[in-house]
Amino acid sequence: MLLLSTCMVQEGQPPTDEQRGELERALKTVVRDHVGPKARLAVAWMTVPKGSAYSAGKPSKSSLVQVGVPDGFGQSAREALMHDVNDRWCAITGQTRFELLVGAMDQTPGRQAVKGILSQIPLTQKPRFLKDYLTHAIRSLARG
Amino acid sequence: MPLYTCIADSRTSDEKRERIAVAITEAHCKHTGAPAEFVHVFFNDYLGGASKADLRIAGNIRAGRPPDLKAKLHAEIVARVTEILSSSPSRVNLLLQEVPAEWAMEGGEVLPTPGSERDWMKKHWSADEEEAPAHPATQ
Repeated sequence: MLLLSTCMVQEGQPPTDEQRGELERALKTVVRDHVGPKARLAVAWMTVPKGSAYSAGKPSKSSLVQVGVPDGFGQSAREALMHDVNDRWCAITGQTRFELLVGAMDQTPGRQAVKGILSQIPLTQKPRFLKDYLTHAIRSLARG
Repeated sequence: MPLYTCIADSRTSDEKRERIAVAITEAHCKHTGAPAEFVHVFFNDYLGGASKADLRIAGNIRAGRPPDLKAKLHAEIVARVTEILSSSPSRVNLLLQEVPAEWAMEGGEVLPTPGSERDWMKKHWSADEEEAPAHPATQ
């Protein structure tokens, strides 16, 4: 079973490149622990330009991590997975729990959400976006 | 949540980005009653000079709100962004997508359903925690 995780982070803010590798490994472990040993996770990174993120209308340091789970995944298991992602992410990056948004969407609507973002990118820029997005995901899969 | 991902032109100034973030936040809070602290706006620079739009926005909001409320929210965001960019409504594209609240977490807690945010914030974002964002519910 192949699942997709999208991490939206900010240029100049945690995680560092080194931490990204550690986070990828942690996310894969979390998914195996909560979804099952056969679950494979591809992690894609989207980096927001420096100073281009806001919370409550003010500049923020927040990151977002969305982890796809199988359709119909139970709520108690979903919550346990999100707590585990939250705890590990904050421990690795030093970000506080208030600087992190965690999502665990069923994989089908999760893909729709990514498609929603993709649909907002002009045709001429789609190759650049897909190259950025998919390169990370494919490399992540290759790393096992 | 909500998370508004704005696909912008790299030439859009920081000042305009901040004004857009404030406008989206104010519109979202006005129409949904959600606290401002829940509203996140991220910009990505994927619009080129030949684009048919001046700003494209993908907004992920919590599910469970009536269609007329979402229509008003949509209309106000488009109108305010249009004004900030001195653009036209046809060049500001907003897509609203709904996500179940229980599929997301902020501040280490699963998000509340729309309408129960204040109680949730009082319960989970205690005022004595230094990192917690300041919010009306605890002031």
